[in-house]
Amino acid sequence: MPVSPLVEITFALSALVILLASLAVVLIKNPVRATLMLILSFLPTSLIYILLQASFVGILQILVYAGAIMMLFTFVIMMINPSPNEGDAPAGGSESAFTGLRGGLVGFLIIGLAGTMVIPMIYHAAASLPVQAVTKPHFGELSSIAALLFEDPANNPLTVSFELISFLILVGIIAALNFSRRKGGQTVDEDSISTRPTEALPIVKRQSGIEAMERK
Amino acid sequence: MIPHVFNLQNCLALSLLLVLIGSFGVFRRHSLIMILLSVEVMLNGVNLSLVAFNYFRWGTSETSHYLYMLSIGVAAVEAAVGLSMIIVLFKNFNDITRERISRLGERSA
Amino acid sequence: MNPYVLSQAPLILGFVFLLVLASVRPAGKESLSNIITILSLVSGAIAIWLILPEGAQFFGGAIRVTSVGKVLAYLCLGLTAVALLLSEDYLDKVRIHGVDWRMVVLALALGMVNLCLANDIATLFIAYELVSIPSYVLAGFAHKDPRSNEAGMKYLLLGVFSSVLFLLGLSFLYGATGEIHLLAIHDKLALAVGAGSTGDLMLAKVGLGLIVGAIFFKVAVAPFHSWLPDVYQGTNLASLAIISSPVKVAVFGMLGMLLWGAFEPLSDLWKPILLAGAAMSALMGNLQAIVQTNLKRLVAYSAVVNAGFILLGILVNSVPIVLFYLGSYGIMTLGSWAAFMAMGTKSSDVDELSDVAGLGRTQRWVALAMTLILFSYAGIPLTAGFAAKFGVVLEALKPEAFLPRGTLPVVYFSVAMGLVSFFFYFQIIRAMWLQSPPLDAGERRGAGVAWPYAFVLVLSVVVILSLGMFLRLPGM
Repeated sequence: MPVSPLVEITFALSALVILLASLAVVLIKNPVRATLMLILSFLPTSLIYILLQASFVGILQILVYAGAIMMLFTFVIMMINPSPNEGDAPAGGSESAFTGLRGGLVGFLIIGLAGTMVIPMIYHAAASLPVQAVTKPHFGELSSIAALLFEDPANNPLTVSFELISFLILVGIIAALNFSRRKGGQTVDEDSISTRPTEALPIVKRQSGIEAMERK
Repeated sequence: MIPHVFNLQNCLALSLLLVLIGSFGVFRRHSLIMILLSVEVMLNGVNLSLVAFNYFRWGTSETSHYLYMLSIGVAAVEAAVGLSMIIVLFKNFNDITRERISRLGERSA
Repeated sequence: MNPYVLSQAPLILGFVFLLVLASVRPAGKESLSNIITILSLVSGAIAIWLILPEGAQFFGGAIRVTSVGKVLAYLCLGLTAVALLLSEDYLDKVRIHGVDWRMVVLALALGMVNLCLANDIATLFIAYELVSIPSYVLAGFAHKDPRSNEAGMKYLLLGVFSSVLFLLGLSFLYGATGEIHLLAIHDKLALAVGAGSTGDLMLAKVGLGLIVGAIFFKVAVAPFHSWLPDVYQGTNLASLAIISSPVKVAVFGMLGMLLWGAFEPLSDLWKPILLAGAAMSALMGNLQAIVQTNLKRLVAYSAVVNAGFILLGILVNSVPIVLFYLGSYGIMTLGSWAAFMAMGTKSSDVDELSDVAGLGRTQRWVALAMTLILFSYAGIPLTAGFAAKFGVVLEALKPEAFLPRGTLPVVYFSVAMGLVSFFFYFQIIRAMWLQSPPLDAGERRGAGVAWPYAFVLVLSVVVILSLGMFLRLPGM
């Protein structure tokens, strides 16, 4: 496929930014900065989606992912103020904690193996595959996706999963409601939020994430 | 002359690298929020591979764009449930470091 | 009207009714919601039985009704209904808001049914998530209890990690075939195997590996089982009854249908993977269980051991054996949780091995039922557990079975390790019958066994004995 140099350069630069920003997410100690880095990595991802003729997906990436989900993360991080030096070796607690994840050496071994073996394997396999040009008119545009989703709902294979996801979201709502219940089984009223000092969040003792950032 | 980089294998390599970086974060991070954040990095890589496959190989229908939508819907629910659990944990333990909240496990008799 | 929508209507209506009930009477009585939930589960199963014809496809092939899927759906719904019978008193004891809890369970039931009937990648993925996410929520539901918090969080983090890998596997599968319909994927894979097109095949194989690995995580096959004992230990018994019995049945059923169906052309690859998983489960599950003194963790390790046997059943391509194993394992597990609930005092659950000491004197009938259930776990003749394990071994010994090399040693090894497992089951039995009760046993003796626990105990004992003694398995 002949591709214009502009596309090539945009792809290469976006890929570079995504990789660097994602590495920053897992390496930076300050949680607020890590979240901002993840948002930074979403912007060039959306650019790549637009290069892949997935314009609606690119818009969703910004609107829903960077806008809504990351907003949730930022909010919670700001709310509970985890200490910015979480990378330090933890004091106390059993080492076997979260063993499935924290197999330590084994986990890194698996990652190293996958990195050195699977990626080149798949790279070569993908290079040998035949490439087809996009044939559908208006590929990836909103009207086209809407037709795919909502045409002939009784015989559309996508209907069931689309309806089921609404139940998934309901479960999320019920879970969040349940987790906010107080002892009596009541949900939190507006009046009762600050009346019980023992259950209020101990924000005062800790430094806020912004202060910590400034101190660095 | 600019080398030809915008192709399927490079998109796949990028997405797999993102998955690896994310899983590295899952193993390395101590804070529960950061583990969830690393999972989001992995998910970003998976979504990229979905859309890339659709564009380069099966451009007759936008099936994987729909899979992308499902995936971000699931990601939103997982984030909501996970974050509300983290808030509850923080209320109970005043900490979200995974070693320090850990009470279950083999009891050393 | 579309029969599929009609068959899902009882579950959805029950859900909506509970939603209304929760907002109208937030602190009302729990038994009404329990009855409604059980009714909607049972009528859901009846609706699937009556309305859905076998072999029919709905919504352009997104849903395909097979006989295996239907049986699995009955099993899941029935086991969930039995688990709900157990929940009513127990939820009050651990101060869980019952209406919310049952709504989550109903959503999970919807996910299980769709997991059993799904026939394309999108539906499969969403149904898988609709089973997973409510399970995390159920594990962490008693949010005042730090142990429950931790169990829920642990389950969620590992589950999310594995479902990302699952999605990556589905993505590779889509990339290799360009289809989301499972039957079309099967045809394309068979074509690719026939033509020897290496690129597509490579992608599909990596996808298969990722999918099977993610499901191994979900059903806790060794070496991905280390989260399971912690989750069992921290979760309350009512939620555990759901997570450990119907959910396991649904996910194992899905694994079996995927491997027998869409991935059948790649059986050269998945058979060795299953074999390795089975061998590891037999080894790790039994060895780690020996040193356990915590009862819930013990049951967790026995779940790992049984998972290994179910994998062997899937490996030998025997549908009836796998369904039989899943059903008997499900009711066995529910029975053991019922016994645990009946043994608990008003304020606490049984936890350590010393808590059941002398139970044969204080609660004779519960101890007797528990002993029988443990026999069945261990696979002692005349119980359902023995019949299921024996069936797997018989199928593997058949000369016409097309099995990879090394199957028979693994089968023998699993059986031999089963003998090791007698040791830790007998530890519980010894504590119950031979040790003297602790001083505060009077509190326990005074309280009779509530009828739901007694009912479920009797039910599981009857099922275990009748399946073990009177049923003639295919191939026996």
